[in-house]
Amino acid sequence: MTKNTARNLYFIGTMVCLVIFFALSIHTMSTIPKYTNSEKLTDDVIAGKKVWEKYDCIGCHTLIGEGSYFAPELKDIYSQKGPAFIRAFLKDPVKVWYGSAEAAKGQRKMPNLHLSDEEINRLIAFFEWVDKIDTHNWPPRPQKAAVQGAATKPPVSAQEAGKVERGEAIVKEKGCVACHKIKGVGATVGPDLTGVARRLDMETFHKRLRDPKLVKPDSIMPAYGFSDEQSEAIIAFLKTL
Amino acid sequence: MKYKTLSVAYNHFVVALLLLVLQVIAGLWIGIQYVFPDFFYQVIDFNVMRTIHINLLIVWILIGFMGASYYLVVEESETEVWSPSLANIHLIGFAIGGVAAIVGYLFGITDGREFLEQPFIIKLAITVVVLAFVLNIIMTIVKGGKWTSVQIVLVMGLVGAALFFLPALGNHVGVYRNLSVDKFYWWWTVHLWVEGVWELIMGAMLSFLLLKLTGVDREVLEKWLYVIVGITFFSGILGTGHHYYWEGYPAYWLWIGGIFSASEPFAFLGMTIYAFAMMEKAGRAHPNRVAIYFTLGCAIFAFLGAGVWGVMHTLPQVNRYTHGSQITASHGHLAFFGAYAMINLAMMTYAVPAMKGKDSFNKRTALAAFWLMVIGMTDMTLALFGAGVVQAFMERYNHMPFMVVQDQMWLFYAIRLAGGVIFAVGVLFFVKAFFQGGVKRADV
Repeated sequence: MTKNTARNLYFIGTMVCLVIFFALSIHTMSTIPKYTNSEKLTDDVIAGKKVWEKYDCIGCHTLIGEGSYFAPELKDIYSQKGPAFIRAFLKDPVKVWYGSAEAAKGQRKMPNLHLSDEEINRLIAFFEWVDKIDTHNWPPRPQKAAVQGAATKPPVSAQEAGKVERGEAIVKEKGCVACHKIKGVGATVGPDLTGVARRLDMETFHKRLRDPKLVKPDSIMPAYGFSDEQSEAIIAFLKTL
Repeated sequence: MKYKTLSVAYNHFVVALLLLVLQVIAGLWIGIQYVFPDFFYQVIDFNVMRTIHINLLIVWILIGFMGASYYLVVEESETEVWSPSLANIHLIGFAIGGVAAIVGYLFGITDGREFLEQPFIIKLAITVVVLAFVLNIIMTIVKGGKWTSVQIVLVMGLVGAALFFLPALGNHVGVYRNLSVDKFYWWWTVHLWVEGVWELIMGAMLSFLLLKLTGVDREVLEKWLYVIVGITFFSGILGTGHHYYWEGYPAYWLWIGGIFSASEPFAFLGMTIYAFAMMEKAGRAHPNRVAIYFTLGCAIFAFLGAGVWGVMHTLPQVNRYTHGSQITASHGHLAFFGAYAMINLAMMTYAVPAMKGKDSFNKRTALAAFWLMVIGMTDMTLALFGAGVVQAFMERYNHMPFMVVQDQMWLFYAIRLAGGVIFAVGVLFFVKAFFQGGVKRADV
């Protein structure tokens, strides 16, 4: 091969690759509405992306895997933790995650960015939209698939199934593992629920499930307002652990 | 100095080295925050210094490229720089723009998109500066009238870098409202720079150094340069697809990205073989041993960092579990160091003594710099790699919560910080060797 052959191969090869690349890019752009639900790209979502950029969130977090690896991936934060948690957390990250500044000492923690309520709302709208981008199921979340599977099943009625099954269905549907650990799976924001039903007295437990603030005024757990019947099912399930 | 206007190359090198020192300080800062999270918490937080760290990286590498390009075209074209004052003006413009952006980050002024955080006005200024630089380079070559292949490849790299910077402006004019659209064109700048046109710049500079250091026949060298940059573009352009796996695009990118990006290491392997083969052929032992160390070091570490460390997690089956983990950080460090930091340092080790009529940098100081940087960077790469394996397995594969897994990784981060300190000492040795200005062979 002479130098001229090598040069010609280089120029032609580059041109061919560029043409294919641009053609695929045009095609990919035409699929954006399908893969990203662009019709749901509301003004709040667009404003939420601006909030995301304004506070340089990518300087610590990753979003669909790109960013800084210092703080958690947020692609599916909306379905993993839910809007109530995100709101409470952004208001006071240290308190929600560690309970107190004392407990957070020496731990990695998010600074309080003092976001306004409007900014938080927009950010949550943005996360909700990002959550639904079709990323070929990235990040891999085995327990998320299980939780979603449970949620799509029709609710189990009192007559047709036992309390334990109903309790398990509620725990999966509400995504308790987003904050609590159950048999080694889940997060550490709230206490581990394995064996908890054997430790607490039943009256307090029912109260907590209705509204955690009735028992612990500074609790960050949202009030799910479970009925007595639901609470009993949940407790029945937790007792089996 | 044979050509008076080479002083503009020297000025660029001085600014580039200063920014490298600042980049390393910012890196140490966030390295400390990984190990001791209370370090300047809520005063200068991780994200601020991380943004500064990666911005300084880009700015010093680009300014280094500019200085090295001036040196290369002056020597290749055997003529003075077309407009030395324009060169100094755009250097000052770039330096002011870069410093302004960094001061802005300290006060929370940012566009919040990784690597492209600079405010719109600074991005526009950078565009003007880069165009002035490219114009000056092209006019110098035109003036000399010798379009050597090394210069053609260099100019294609520089023009390509300017062109692919343009998509970075899109977010400021409001066209990237959809995150997936934003990311698509973000990669046109980020990927097509570092895995595309920057490799052309690097290939041209590596060829130039080999020409000078080995005295091998130009025809042979330039033929292989075309082969290597041919492989670079063949694999790199469609290899962009390896960033498109999980971002909301069709699944064909998993095939295209996987196959083409898996051949990216061949370009770097080609460069390594090329460098060693030419050194073997060298008819004479060049007196600048330091430049030979850095040139071969560049060839080896570019292959390891950008080639091997990249291909390791480029297939979608692997990337599914490693994407967005410390594996990426490990790869990023070794790749940028091996390919782009090293080529700039190699150009300095060759050009600065040559301009000053010396034979080489002080060998003892410069080789201490070389080994400390190599050892420090290897330490950081392996520590982050270990952390990344733990993270991919525990978080992605075993779906444990992020923070629980991070708690297991403290030791890796501590080892990485130690590597960072070693690297920083190496950089200081390099700065010392640089300002000592070089020695005659008799003094080595």
